[in-house]
Amino acid sequence: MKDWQIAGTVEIGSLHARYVATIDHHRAADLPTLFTESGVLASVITGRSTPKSELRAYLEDVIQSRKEDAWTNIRHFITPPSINFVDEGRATSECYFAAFNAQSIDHWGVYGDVLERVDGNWLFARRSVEILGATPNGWVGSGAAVLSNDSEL
Amino acid sequence: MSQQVENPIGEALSEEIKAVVEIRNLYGAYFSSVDANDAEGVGRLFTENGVLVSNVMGWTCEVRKAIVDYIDQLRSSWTEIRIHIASPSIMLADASHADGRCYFTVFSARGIDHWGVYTDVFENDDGSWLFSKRSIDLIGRSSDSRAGPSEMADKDR
Repeated sequence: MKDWQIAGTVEIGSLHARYVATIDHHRAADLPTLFTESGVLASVITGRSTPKSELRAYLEDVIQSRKEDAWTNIRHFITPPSINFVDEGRATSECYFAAFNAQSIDHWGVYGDVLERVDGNWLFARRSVEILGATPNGWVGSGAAVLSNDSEL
Repeated sequence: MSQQVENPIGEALSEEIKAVVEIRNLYGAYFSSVDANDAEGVGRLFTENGVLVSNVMGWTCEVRKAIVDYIDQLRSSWTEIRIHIASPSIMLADASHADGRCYFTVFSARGIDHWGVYTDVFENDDGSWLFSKRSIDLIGRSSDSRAGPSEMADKDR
């Protein structure tokens, strides 16, 4: 690997971690800062894409949908990513997640990303979220999540 | 799109840091290739004489071609699972040898299927870090998991 790929790997891993910290700690105002100006958060299941300008409101709606106490603080465990560089400014990545509520595993799936380096920072140009399973009585599995299966974070 | 890339961790990356990042990438490439049933891609992650020992399935593959055949046989019919890996522990022995250890949890649509640990030996083969040996050990499994030696035995019938 070239030095820029090494550096990019570290930076993209950090971006993945910041995404989780942002959503798990309900920092809705920070979520758009992780995306490029034309960046989108997309649901593979519903086909919905949320643009950067709507990400803050989207995360706020998602948090509001967690009516049960056990769902208040959902935590996302992510795997180290698989990263492929297109060039020094573009890459794709993939990582799995398992989201836990206060009682059990809630849901799990995969993030698929298109990344761009803007002003020296790697950002999501597109993050797609696909849920591969959910515990029936959890926040996602019960159907309580806002916009049904669309509230995948 | 070519930009000046500033190194965030110093003017010159040490060989040790490069090795650790490259080996971490190898861990990512393994789960991504296996779960995509890209058997040829998995094979490229091993040295030509690489060994894959699955104590989960009771199977040992010696040399790259055997690994490709094994992954293709196993995952072409077992497509619904995904391998979640933890952060690996990587220990460099010298400029071209390293060891690693990493826990994994395999999920299906029903939940956790089985879990265990990878124990790895790496070699730097002509500038690229590759698995020279990967051993897979089971720590636990769900009651309805297909993980186990009978799975591969069934395929031989």
